[in-house]
Amino acid sequence: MNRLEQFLLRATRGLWGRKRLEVMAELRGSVEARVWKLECQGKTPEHALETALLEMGKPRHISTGLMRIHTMPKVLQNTVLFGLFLTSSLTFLSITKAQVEVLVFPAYSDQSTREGINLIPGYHISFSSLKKNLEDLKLTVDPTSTPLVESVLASRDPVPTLRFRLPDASKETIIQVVPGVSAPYRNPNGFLTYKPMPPADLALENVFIDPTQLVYQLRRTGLPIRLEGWKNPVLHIGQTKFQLGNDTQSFLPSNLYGNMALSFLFTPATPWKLWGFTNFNSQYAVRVNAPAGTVYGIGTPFGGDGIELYYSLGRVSEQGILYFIAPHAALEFVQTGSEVYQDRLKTGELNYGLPLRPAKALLVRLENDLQTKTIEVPANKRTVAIK
Amino acid sequence: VNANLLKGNLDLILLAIIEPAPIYGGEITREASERSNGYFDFKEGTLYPALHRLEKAGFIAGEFRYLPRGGSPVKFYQITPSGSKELSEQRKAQQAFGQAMNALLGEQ
Repeated sequence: MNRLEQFLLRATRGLWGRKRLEVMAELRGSVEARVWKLECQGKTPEHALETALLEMGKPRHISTGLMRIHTMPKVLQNTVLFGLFLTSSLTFLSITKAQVEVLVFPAYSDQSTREGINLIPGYHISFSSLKKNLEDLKLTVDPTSTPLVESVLASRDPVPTLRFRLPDASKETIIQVVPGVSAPYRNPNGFLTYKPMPPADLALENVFIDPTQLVYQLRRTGLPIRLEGWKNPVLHIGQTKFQLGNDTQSFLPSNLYGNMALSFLFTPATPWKLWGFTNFNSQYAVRVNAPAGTVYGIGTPFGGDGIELYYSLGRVSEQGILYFIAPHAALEFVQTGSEVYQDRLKTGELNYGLPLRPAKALLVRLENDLQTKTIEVPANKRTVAIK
Repeated sequence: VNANLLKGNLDLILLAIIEPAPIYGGEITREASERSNGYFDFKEGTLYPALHRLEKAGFIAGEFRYLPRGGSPVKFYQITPSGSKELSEQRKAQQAFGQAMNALLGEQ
């Protein structure tokens, strides 16, 4: 662990879960910005980091101050809530579904999408919470770890691994988190591994996984999967239900819908490296034949190597206009995922994504269900960005 | 700087620095130092509890942004309408207090 990580851990001691990661991200960004400036002034990276950390002051002072703001009020609140919980739990003893604690990442985007839905923040699921949920459901969970691949071996050994078999599944599900690997990564044992960013609360020895990866792994069981609802949705996997999020930690499944709904349309049906934000957005407005409030997913190739898919979500306004953002100045809407998939190889072409050579794009109507979807192509197949 | 004086005026100092344009933690300390000719020269770390308190109160809003250089995102703070109102009120109170103190000290 380097000096910066040590500093961040000490400066955020006493903060919990999501808040702690948020503060760590803030401090990290600020230190890195300062280091960069000092390096520009001619300091070595080591000296720059040392100076930047000195300027921050004692980590203990930061953590004490932040605890007063964030943790102490929470402790008081939790004490009251715990009392209420004890009272209510006497009358509520049957658990019908597990609740998965989620982690909300801070907004890593400065994009505002007007009527469009900003995909950021992203939501991740607590690994330890998932394990506990599975145990609560009386499922057999094998927490033993698997050997690490040398090339991806990073800071944690053994890697967190969950093996379990859902009641109606023909084979077990394996969820593994390997640090230092960009998602998704398929290791020699044949199952998917994933490194979320940022992945871990080192102090609590907990890591967080992208729900997309969880759903992808669960699809391999062959069980039907359905997602129900928007805020704090229920994930149905065969007979098993997981509620993602709760009243205190809300979960919005925009990334999940966007990724899963769109990636199912392509071959191979694997999670893509998806981008929900970019600095080169164009804003679109398209008239669609759908009730106000209907949510659409938009997918289009993005990136020079042609393997990435940009996606965003948009909601239909009262006037029947769908607003969304995309990384290209011009889009051509097509009717099948394969056309978009083929177009990914053309992203390096001159004028790609410009009016002379619009990028192929797909509109998917999302209907609160990962299994079914309706594709609609607007009458004007080609739309130029309005910004 | 007298610690108590600083503590009592920290909110006003931060709101005044954040008011013109979105700014992040490290820049706030340097801005405070520059605008006060080095008088306010506090550690950056002492700033964060105060920033988070103001954010919690709804006077400022934080947002992560990527800088052109790349790297990790940086949290920028900008003043909210209620923060502007609070700043305006604190400015008036501070000016009234300053005038009263000057009048008082000048008499001795």
